[in-house]
Amino acid sequence: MSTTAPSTAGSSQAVPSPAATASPAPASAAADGIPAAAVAADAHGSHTAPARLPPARWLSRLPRPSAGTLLAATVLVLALSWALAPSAFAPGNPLLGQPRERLQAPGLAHWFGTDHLGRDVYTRTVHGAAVSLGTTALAVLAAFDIGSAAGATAATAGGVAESLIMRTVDVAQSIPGLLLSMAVVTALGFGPVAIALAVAASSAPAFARIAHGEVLRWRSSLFVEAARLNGVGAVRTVVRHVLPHAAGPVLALAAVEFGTAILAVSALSFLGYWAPPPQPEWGLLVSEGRDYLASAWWLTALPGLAIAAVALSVNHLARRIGAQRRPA
Amino acid sequence: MSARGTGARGAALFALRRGLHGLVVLWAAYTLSFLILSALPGDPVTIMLGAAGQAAGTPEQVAALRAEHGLDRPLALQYLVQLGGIVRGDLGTSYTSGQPVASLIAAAVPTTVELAVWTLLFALLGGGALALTASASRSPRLRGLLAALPGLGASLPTFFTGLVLLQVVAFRLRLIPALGAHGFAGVVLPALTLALPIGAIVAQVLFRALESAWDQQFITTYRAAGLSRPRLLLAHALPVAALPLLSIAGVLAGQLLGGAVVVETVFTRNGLGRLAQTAVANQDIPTVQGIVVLCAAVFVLVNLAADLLYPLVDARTRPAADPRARRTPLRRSRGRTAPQQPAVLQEARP
Amino acid sequence: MSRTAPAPVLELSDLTVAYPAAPAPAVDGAALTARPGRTVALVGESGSGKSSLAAAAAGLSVPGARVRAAVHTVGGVDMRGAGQRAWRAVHGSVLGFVPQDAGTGLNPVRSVAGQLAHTLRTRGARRREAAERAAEALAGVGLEPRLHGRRRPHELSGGQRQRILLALALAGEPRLVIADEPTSALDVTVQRQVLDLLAERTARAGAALVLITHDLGVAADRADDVLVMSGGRIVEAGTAAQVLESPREPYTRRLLAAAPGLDAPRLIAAPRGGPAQPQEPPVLRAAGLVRDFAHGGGSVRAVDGVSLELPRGRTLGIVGESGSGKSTTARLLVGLEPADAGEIELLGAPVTGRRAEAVRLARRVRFVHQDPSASLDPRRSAGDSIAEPLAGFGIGTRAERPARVRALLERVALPADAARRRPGELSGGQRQRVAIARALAVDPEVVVLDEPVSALDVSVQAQILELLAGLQRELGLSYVFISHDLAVVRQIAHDVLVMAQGRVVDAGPTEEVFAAPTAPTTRALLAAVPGRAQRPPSAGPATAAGAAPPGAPASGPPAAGRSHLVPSHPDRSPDPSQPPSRTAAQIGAR
Repeated sequence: MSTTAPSTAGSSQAVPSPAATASPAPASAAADGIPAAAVAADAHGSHTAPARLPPARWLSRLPRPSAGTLLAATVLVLALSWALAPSAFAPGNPLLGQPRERLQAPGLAHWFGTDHLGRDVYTRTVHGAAVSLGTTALAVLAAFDIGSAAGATAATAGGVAESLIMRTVDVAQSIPGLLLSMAVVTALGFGPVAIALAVAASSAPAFARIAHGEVLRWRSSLFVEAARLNGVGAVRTVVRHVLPHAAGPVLALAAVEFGTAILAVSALSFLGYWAPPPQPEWGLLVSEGRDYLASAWWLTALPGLAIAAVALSVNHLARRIGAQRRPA
Repeated sequence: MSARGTGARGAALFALRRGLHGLVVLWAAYTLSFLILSALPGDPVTIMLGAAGQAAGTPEQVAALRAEHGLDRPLALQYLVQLGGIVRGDLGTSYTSGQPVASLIAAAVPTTVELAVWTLLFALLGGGALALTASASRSPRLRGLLAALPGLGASLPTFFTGLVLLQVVAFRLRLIPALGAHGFAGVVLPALTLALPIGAIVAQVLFRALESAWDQQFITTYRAAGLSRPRLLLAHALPVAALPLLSIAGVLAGQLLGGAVVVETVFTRNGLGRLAQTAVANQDIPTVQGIVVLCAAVFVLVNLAADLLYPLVDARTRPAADPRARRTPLRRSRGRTAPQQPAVLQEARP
Repeated sequence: MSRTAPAPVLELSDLTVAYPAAPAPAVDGAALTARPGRTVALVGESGSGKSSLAAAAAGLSVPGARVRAAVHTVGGVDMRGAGQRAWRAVHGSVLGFVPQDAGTGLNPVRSVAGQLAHTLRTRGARRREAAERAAEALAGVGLEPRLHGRRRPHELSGGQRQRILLALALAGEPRLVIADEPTSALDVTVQRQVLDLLAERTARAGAALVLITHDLGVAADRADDVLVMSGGRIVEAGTAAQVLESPREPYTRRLLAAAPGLDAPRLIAAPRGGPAQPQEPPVLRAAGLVRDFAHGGGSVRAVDGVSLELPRGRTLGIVGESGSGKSTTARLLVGLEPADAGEIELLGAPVTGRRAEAVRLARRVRFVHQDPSASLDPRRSAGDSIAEPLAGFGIGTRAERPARVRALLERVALPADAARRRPGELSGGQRQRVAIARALAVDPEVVVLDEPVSALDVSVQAQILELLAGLQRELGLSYVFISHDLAVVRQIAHDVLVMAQGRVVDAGPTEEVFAAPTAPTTRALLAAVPGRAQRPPSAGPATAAGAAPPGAPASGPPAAGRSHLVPSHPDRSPDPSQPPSRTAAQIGAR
């Protein structure tokens, strides 16, 4: 209730956005991911987008970042640094173990302890960042490209093409995401690229749905109608008036999907579909530690914590982006 | 205006239409999984020989296997034969174990159902309680804290929380045996693990819905009529906010089945998820496909149930015989429909 | 107040309401007194703080709002700093609140009788008793309990929903009723019925009524006392007669002058030398226009055989209630909708369905949407938007456009630097000026304006109407002006069409149609225009002054009294001493 605008502003109460008051769509319409749906529903509603300002003023408009946001940003920066320059943070060899130092608990010598072959778990975690994050990025990029292209095409083309694309999206979303990914892995075989494409396959439908909805939504806006009356051609109208508006929510979804994809990639590699094994991927590290669960908790807990921290940070920032786009 | 009789017939027609639609989705899901599994590169026979431990079979072996599984036939024929089998309840034969997929699945279902029931119970109770508490609390700080919790729950990898629970509860505290427990003791940890992300979704959706219900004007109407905050919450906000929850029932079912793969692997429970995990690891295409089709069927059934329940709860979606009342389905509203007078017309005035 | 006045049921003084995020308080030192049997109207434009005041008075401020008052009593009880519990004791029983129904004033998933009964049960009624009293309450607002009671809010019309909100507020027989814009979302005839009901019920119960409204006509019809609010302050207060007929404050005068009444001066010159030169063909002619919409299983005829003629340099008003087909007619005229039958003739040549013809039509006949904040792309600057038709129709070179945009901005009295601003940085009136400039960019013959001022505050509305009239004089434009507001149409239109259910039910020169309406629809519309009603003579001190002969110009600067709000001689000619003096030039005035 605290979000209610002062009633003097009037407009926020008197003119609820149709989406907010309309009955929720029937069950099958809400088949996309929850965070995605939430962002999509909230990301728009106001026609008055903030105007483009010089960078300094634009920055000053942002609310002061909270402690949580700063922490999340720090975690992400650290994870990215690990991915880009692992040796700067962990100079050792992630694949080479010292048999005499096997299964050592975390300490000063080995921050995250050592595994059954005497390999330093911290070094392996740092060196795993590149493949884990890289695979995730590949997955999101592929899903973004394929999904939003398909959705925008469907909305623009209409007719049979639209039905075909959007019904395919419906169907793809009727299969649980992880199982759809597993089916793709079964077909493509194991490995980072297969996992990336598998995760992309499960998140592309959400992009398609949002892109489709956004393009349709803005295409029916009055300023697009005005553009038609101004003699502007169909293609030019889409480029000038539709895509700039539709891009925002789709990008916001990309942020949300990145958090989901990190979890999906690590889950697939945890399930044993990562090849080749010696490469230190985060989910794989957790999986390898399972055999020592009773005696060496750090093998599962610390790499797992790395995944959780990154996923949490991404989700937190994605939510902030979503909240930023929402009318105040 | 609409007489009772036409209303009942309308409802039956609606149910029939949704049911047929569900069948079409199911068929399409099967087709999609067939396309993914059979049309993508990757030769099942090589996989089968690999699984049998033979690096490369002789040409005769390969040909024999192909013939045995019908893989020598053209793709379209394979598709039709399999589809015919599915209609009769025959999901094919597992490449690795040689058993019928249908019986493999039937053996695994009870374990997963047990997990699902407990998970849903924990998730609905926990998530619902969290959302209601957050929405009812008047301290902004407490609300903020409670509202942030679901985000945390949804960000933790399931395998990680499962392993931590196992580590702490089973190995450290020794409250429950790590493996081989039966009944509630055996299912409580996996169900809690899986209830975390599911409950997070429940809490998030319900909380958002409650918040938007609070912001609607009828709350002011009834505040002015002298209703207390708990009454407003339970009698007015909750009935409105429960609707979105119903609409994500299918999504929740999908999340449950997907999460079961990881949880059953972590806790070595021989359910559907574990079956799927090993089937993918062995590239056992018929089993994978059988499970995918089953999951789609569950999704379709849950959505069908939700669609049929929806009009009972929310009259706005009731399919009416009276055409004037028929304006709710917002989807597919393109084309020649009467433009509604824009709401801003007069309301935007002060 | 010579008579001994009964004790007030609501007394407020030095009320301040502040919101955490806002720099200035929304209500600043307001005072208000409501006595049994009397009606207080609180009048103001959007953002004046009137709704904040109403909410604070009723204890319904949003959480976080800081409310302070020197005196705040409801029914004699001090409500300063009262908690939820104290307010609950007052709500419903002493104080009834009627919110504005924007379609969301009632719980969408419960039947209306069920909602009423539930509320009664929370006040201690038993289940059966509550059901009976809910039925009585519905009957009391003119609804059929068995028919309407079991419906959900969306199955009822806006007027019926507003009646149920009244029933809810009145169910506890409160001594004070606060109604926040109770009829602003309703068609004018329905508005009148609902206000009649509200007045009748509160009068019968002897309750005090506080009526919040933006509509001076409503205030003039219904109120004993009037408070005028602006910028969070009460700028003028007094009896309705004092405030509306001899306002002291400049703001009140401006507001009154801007409020279109049926006797307000018209903004258009009388037709020169009788009706337009007969030899010249009309710029735009339409005959037998028909438009059907698929609806449910069948189809609905939104426009049913509409014919019209628009002579050069004149304005044709199209009026009607929502759903009468007036907006669809406008969309047919500019080619936004294809006509299912009928023909359109532009400058004597028929417009066919071909693409080239559509372009010709779109260029010659321009369209201005109701809501400029939706019809201007929020990401494009005003200059970009104005130049769009130049690019779209390939007029001029890219280099010439900035100069053309500047000229157009000047034409609509916007400064040149407005070109760089985005719609979000402009006020509502400025945005509509940009939309008008965009329409004028390609030198059209006809501009079709679909409710161009109904989203604007009344003073801004007047400025836009003057701008339109001025442009017509200078450029010889012809307008088709769609509006639900008869007073506005009377001000700007030479001729008028009255539409109902897709058909033209009345047509002719505006003065004639309004003076001698032939169709029942026209009569009903005219009768419902606020500002014409006469209160019963016994209603209070206000009538003493109200009975003074209208039309007698108040002394002092340009008469801006209430004269046009009371019925007067229909043939009264426009006051020549009242030129359109307010220049529309100040940017950022609002």
